[in-house]
Amino acid sequence: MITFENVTLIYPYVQRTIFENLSFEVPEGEFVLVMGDTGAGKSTLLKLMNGLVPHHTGGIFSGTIKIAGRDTALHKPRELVDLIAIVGQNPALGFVTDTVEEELVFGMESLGISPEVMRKRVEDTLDLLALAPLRNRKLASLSGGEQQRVAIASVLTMNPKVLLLDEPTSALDPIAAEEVLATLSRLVHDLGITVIIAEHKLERVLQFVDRVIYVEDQNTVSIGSPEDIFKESAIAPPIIQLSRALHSSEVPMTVRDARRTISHLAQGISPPERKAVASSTPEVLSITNLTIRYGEKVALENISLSIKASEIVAVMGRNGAGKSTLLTSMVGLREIANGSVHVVGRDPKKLHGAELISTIGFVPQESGDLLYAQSVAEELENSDQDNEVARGTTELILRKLLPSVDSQLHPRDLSEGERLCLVLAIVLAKTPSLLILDEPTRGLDYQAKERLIKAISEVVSGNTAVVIASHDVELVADIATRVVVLADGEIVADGEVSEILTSSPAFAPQVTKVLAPARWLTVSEVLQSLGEKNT
Amino acid sequence: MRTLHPLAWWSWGICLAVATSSTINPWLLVIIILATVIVTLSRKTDDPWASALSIGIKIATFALVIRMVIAIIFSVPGDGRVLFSLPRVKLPEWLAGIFLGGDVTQERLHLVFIETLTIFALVVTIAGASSLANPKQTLRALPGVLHEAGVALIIATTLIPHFVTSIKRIREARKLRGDERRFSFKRSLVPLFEEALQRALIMAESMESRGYGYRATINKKGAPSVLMLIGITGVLIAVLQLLTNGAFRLTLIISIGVLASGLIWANNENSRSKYRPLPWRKEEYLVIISSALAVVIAHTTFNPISAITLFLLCSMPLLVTRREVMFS
Repeated sequence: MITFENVTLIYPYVQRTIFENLSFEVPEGEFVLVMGDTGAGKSTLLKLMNGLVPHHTGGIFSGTIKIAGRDTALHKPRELVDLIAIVGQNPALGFVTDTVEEELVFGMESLGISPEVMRKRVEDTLDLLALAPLRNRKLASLSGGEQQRVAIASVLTMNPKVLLLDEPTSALDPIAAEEVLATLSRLVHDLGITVIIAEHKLERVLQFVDRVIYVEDQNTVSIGSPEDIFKESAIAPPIIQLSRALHSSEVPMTVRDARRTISHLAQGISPPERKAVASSTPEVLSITNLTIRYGEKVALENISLSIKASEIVAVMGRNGAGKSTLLTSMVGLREIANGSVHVVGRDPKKLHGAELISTIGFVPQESGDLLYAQSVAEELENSDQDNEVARGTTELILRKLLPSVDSQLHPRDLSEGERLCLVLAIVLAKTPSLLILDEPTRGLDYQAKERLIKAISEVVSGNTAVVIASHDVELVADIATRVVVLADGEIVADGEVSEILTSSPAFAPQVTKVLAPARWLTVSEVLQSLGEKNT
Repeated sequence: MRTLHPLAWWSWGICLAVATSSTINPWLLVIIILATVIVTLSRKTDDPWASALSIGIKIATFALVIRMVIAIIFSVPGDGRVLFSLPRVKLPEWLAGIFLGGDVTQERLHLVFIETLTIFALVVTIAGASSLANPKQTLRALPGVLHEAGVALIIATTLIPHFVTSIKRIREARKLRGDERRFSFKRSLVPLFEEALQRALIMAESMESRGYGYRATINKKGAPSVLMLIGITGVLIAVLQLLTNGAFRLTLIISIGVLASGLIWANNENSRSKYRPLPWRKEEYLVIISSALAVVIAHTTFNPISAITLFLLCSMPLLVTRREVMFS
């Protein structure tokens, strides 16, 4: 279906080659996963396939890429829409119209497809993606998962043979992600469409995948069956890490596989005790009877929460459950209808300037929002000034998180993970008592996540309390000491991490599912117990 | 029965506006205003643009009141029945010709009132049409050649809310960095522009990979565009003539002909297709014909029969449509 022959890509004014001498072939009708570290070029690889690179971005390109025999060098992306379609990382940014039905026909109208055919295809596509109840809705009123499905539908109406998706589930909660992936899998099975997706959260997609393209660096790109690739890849989902930790030669793809083949290997060991927070630890955050409304809509209803120093609390729940509202109310950014919020005994609304940042560090969902300088060096200098700390303090923290980063780079040119580290360094410069992170793992690979986990655990060894909102169950399992689950603006569960995560099917990490009913959470726990057993 | 094609609503509104400007009889003006308000109120939906009428009425009333107050304060010397007198203020010499205070005559008030009522009616008729015609459907109903302009407008209107949230986010981010000093170009506007640019690039990528402009690479624009340009210039000249003297008809008819043939030609070459195009049925024709007749009636002198006929013609949409039930 897609053939790459000796493809080389270089961007002008950049030292690094993006791809060098790439040759591979993707067969028709498969579900293909593109994986690799952040910045390895996954998005670029997808855009090469439909010609956006280099037609739209520029760059020096050699070699040939053919889609069903059509050369992308000779055809612009708009002339390939009947063959190949792409859905970007944030579908909301790519919407051209403002209602679902109009979005679905936008492409077909441009192609001049006859009104009768259009009508038929719209109805078919609405049914296929279960969007019929939403057909007249405004796009802005849809949830993240629904927007993603509309974006898929809007390209499917043009009957492409190949569908490319760039991190389709990174912003979604586990249930919505599952829905989108099941839809994609149906397209592969029922319509014979070739689906190619780039994704970091391997644990979510692995069970659907027929083939893996592994982008290690610019001239090593391997393609193969998941079993072959994951035998020795540096990146692996928890389920395969578990298999490796248990010294099994199996490469399980699904939780079911793993239960059958490797779960017995963990029988001799038991999960380590998680140490509880001492009751004498001082309270950092106290929320009592907090209610927040947006107009008529109640965003948070009568929330009470107390968090002590050295606790790491994960806030989980569906998209729109009120996680971001709860987090932003902790820094005093929301109008409170009722109740109170206190951080180390003070009202965050009354904190300003240096006082605020020395009490609360907040990393927003779009971490780049906090950056506005033209280079990393300038950003670090600004941070020292804003925080009123000695020169070089922020840089010292950054070097700990990210030993090698060119300080002359523009913050926007950093990878997602590097940018998060920079923001974290700035926020931590004055060691705040409360550190808040809103969805920190969006677009982060396993390495970047590990770095983040290390950074956070170091922070907490001091007297800081940490609050993280996240959809990423694996991250929560790795790092949190306590989980708060929100639904419709109310707290529905609040307890120790092992208790909450193991009791709910939606939030259970892979290791838990494989080794149930024993209360395991992470691979590192298994490794630790194995180590203790052997000594 | 259903709502009308948006272009039919606009034709109705524009015809009524033309009718108001071709009469000076206050009763006929009042009839047109009444008919417009009744039709609009009984056929408008809950959509945001439906409030155009009430906004229009507010603006028009404001204009009416201001105009009357000015007419009373600044008198114009002349004959007529004096209603009352205001004390005259002596103005400096360089303001000769302007009179503050003085006699207020019935004739002057009458004349000013009719002048202002015409403007009032004009605003109300156009406001009525804009609250009835769905602006997005109007854009979609435009001929295919104008499609690109329509898409640009739609994108622009959907981007405004994004822009507002961006501004809010950037302000919050500054607070989070402990920076609440005065406005700073570098810290507020630079991130905003960067984000807008990035958004535009993503949008362009998305449109490109969905086939936007596919037909443009096939079709060549040339002669039809020239024809349309000539037509528009002609129409402008004709309107100017209409405003200065009466001799406009021939120019207007010829230029409209040229413009229309340009549009049709370009439209035939443009092979974009339209999803669920709004139908144009006999109701639309009926409304347009009756509105055109209303213009003719407005030229006649006032008598009870012409008044009733005018009212019926203006409220024709009431007879052929029914209130539309909108989905949210």
